Amino acid sequence: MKKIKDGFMKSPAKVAILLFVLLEILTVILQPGALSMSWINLKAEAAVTLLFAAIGETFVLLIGGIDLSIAGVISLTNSFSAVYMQDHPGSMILISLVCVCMGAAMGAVNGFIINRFRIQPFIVTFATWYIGGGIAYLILPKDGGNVPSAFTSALTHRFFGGKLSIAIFLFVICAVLWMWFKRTRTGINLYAVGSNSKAASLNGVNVPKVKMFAYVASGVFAALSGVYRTAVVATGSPTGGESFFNQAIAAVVIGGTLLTGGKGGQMGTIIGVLVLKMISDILVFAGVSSYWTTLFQGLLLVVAVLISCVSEIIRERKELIG
Amino acid sequence: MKGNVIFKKHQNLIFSYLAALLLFAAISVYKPGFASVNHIKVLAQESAIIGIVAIGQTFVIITGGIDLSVAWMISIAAIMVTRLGGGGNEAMIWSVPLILVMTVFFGLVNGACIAYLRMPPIVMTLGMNIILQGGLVAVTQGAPGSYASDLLVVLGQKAFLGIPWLLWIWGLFTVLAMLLLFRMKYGRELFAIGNNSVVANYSGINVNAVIMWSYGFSGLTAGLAGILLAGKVGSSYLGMGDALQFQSIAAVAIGGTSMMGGSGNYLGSVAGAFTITILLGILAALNLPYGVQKMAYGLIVLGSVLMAARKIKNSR
Repeated sequence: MKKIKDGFMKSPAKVAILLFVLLEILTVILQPGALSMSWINLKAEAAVTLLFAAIGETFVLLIGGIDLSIAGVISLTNSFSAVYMQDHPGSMILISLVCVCMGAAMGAVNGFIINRFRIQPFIVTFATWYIGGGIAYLILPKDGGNVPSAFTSALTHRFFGGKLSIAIFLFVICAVLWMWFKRTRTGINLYAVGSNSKAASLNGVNVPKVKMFAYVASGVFAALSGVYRTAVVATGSPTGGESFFNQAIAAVVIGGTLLTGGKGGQMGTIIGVLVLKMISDILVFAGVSSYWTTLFQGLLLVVAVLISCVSEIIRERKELIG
Repeated sequence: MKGNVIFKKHQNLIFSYLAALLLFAAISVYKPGFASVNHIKVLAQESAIIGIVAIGQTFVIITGGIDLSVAWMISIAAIMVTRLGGGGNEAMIWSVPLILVMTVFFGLVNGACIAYLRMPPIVMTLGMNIILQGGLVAVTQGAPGSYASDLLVVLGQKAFLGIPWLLWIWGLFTVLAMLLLFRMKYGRELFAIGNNSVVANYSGINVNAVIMWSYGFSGLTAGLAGILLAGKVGSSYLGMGDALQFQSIAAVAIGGTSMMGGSGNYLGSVAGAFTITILLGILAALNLPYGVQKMAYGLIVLGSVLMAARKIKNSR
């Protein structure tokens, strides 16, 4: 028991876990149907787009970078897949793969420029965000596109007679893969570069390679997010990804990953995504007008980052004194 | 010999102005109407708004930060100036100071969180932008603003001694900004912090206060630009500042101010503002879709940042 308690107190995601439990109780009180499997499946499906975006962003934040271009990549892959996908399994797989390659390419461009020219990530990814968004507009000037219904039903398929959706599997797969990945050499190197890239470099870590990995991973996950959005929303939009950067940052920060890098991880991010989604659901249950949702999103982002930064300052002060 | 030194020192500036001139010459040959006196006036008015937003943006970028909240500060200022007290000339006596105090306050909140609480500028100002957007949409319930007062329309659209009022105002603020940057203690402190904030701190500069006020200035110029934009357009609507977000940053980047902070010149941003307006005019003249414009923004910023990075490498 003590071991569990220690592990919990040390976990960077402890705030997220507490919030998760509190919000779950609140949701069940406000909406008694919220414990049914069909409700959970529905919510998981709605959350996967943000999950992928946030997982990608976590890789970059762990090395102390930032990736704004995920908004552009999601818009781009969402528009591309909505326009070009045909009602044929081969086409669906091919277009999805092309989207993933586009995301990887965008990440590689970001990583290359950041490594080669040593420009701050925010301005590079800011520019590539607009380039990606611009291409999305060229592919699909207005919301629309033609998404085959088979693609939607394939990605929202429910197993065991409608009991378990693919979305829940995706959550579990992400968690399991991360448990494995964080113990691999690359996983450990991510943390090393994020806490102190100079020290990591002196210890033989190939820092540019690790940075490249993080940005490519971010691009790939953003592309997955865009493709999944196509299936769930069944439409494409050249601005479909615009709000995902700030939502992803909020989810990652709630999950306990530091914006300065080196601390946190995907388990926190997964819980952070769920917390974020629950908050917006609770706002709906509470009858808050949709005019206020943008304001709450912004406040949530700022407050989450504020708490993270302030607690970091307090921790540093304590270390200085102690 | 002396000329050579001056050229080396102001290389960035000269290049920015040459780029603007070249673009302008090229499009004038292609579309003769582009260089007519009336059209030049329109371009100058457009540049003035971008240029005024770029003043604060330049200050912030010199410290090594960025301000992504100008978009909705501009919208808030424009909506408020046309709605407060019925938006008439008399109401502006109290509404304009009130709006400017408010946008400065928002800027100072940005700056305080960034300087004292060490929040990353990009996340803080983006969050502020979303909060302002959400707040304005919630308060107005999505209703558009109304018409600008006669005085604002004169300032935004009419000319004085043959030169648009907006250019006079921009000129005045350019002089003030240059004095602040190069003739006053505050300007030297800005550059010192951008170069190395730790050293600046040890030299007795109140780093946090200087950074906080740079965001305050950005709020001031964004508010001012919003008020003038309402006059230039003749009315206000939600989201009217969105385009200026990227344009102001692109103007600073083209003008040779380093995105890493520590070096830059507002006169470069002035050239950047002209370049952006001319480019927009070209894209409009060629009838290119909106996507190309968006891509062009990204490519311009990436290009100018890459050029600046190469220069730093060569000088080492």
